[in-house]
Amino acid sequence: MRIAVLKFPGTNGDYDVLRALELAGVRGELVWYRDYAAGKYDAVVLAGGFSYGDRLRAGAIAAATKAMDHVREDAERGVPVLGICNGFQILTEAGLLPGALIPNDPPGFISRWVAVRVVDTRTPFTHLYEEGEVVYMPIAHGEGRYVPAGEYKAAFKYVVNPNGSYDNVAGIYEKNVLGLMPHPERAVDPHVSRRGVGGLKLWLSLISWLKR
Amino acid sequence: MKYAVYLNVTYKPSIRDPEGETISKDLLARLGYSVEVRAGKCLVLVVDAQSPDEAASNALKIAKEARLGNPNVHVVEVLKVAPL
Repeated sequence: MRIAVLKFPGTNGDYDVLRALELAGVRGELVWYRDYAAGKYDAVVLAGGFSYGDRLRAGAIAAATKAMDHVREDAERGVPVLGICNGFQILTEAGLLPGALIPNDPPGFISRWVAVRVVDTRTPFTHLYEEGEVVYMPIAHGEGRYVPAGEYKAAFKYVVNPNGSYDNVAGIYEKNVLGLMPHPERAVDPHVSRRGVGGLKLWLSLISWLKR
Repeated sequence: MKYAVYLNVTYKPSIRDPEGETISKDLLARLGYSVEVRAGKCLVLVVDAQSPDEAASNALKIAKEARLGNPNVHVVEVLKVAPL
């Protein structure tokens, strides 16, 4: 099982994702964006951070890289693709997920734990959760206000809206592609996570999905 | 010849702009001004063209292709065209 953790210049959540995968029982592979090639991996995770220093808009520059053409090709073949925080922003900017993530309302960077409700368990990343289950994960973003453009499918919703996101949306999916603003990779280790390990089932879901 | 095309990337009127609202409510109103504010980002593209009109349309074409604005939420408008 090969799970790529994609790293752009400015990505900083990559090692947290690798650690989360390790705690869930698999070894991920850190892949520099220039080395990413379609057809090699069983799943790919776009980790959080500040790709290209959030120049222009969060995710806009990374979305235009060749790496994202390869990710799009993999996604179309059914490879599970997960975008966390900046990774979610890259997926919307690249058109792999609908809508846009724009600066928070009220404006400003938010870094804190939030309660998140799992509202759809039919995805490769949520099928081990109970529908309606509430878990805690940290958020850390300045541009997380989801604005839909037509139809979308929510997978995660905030219990209390922190950023002005449309209909409390915290994460959406389209077939095998899922993006979310909260950080499931930072809610996996009981030694350092002060609000539990609510992100762990996301990684276990992915692994069990790949083992089917 | 070369022209500097000043583009403004700003939110569509239907998208709330909390940055503009904060400047309006928490800065200008405090000073006694009742002024609506919309925030945007100004990008200056230096392009080759035969005329200012051509420069503007070249810059807008580039902006569209490169998604300098996100079409879901932004409008991109030409503020001015200056010969260099």
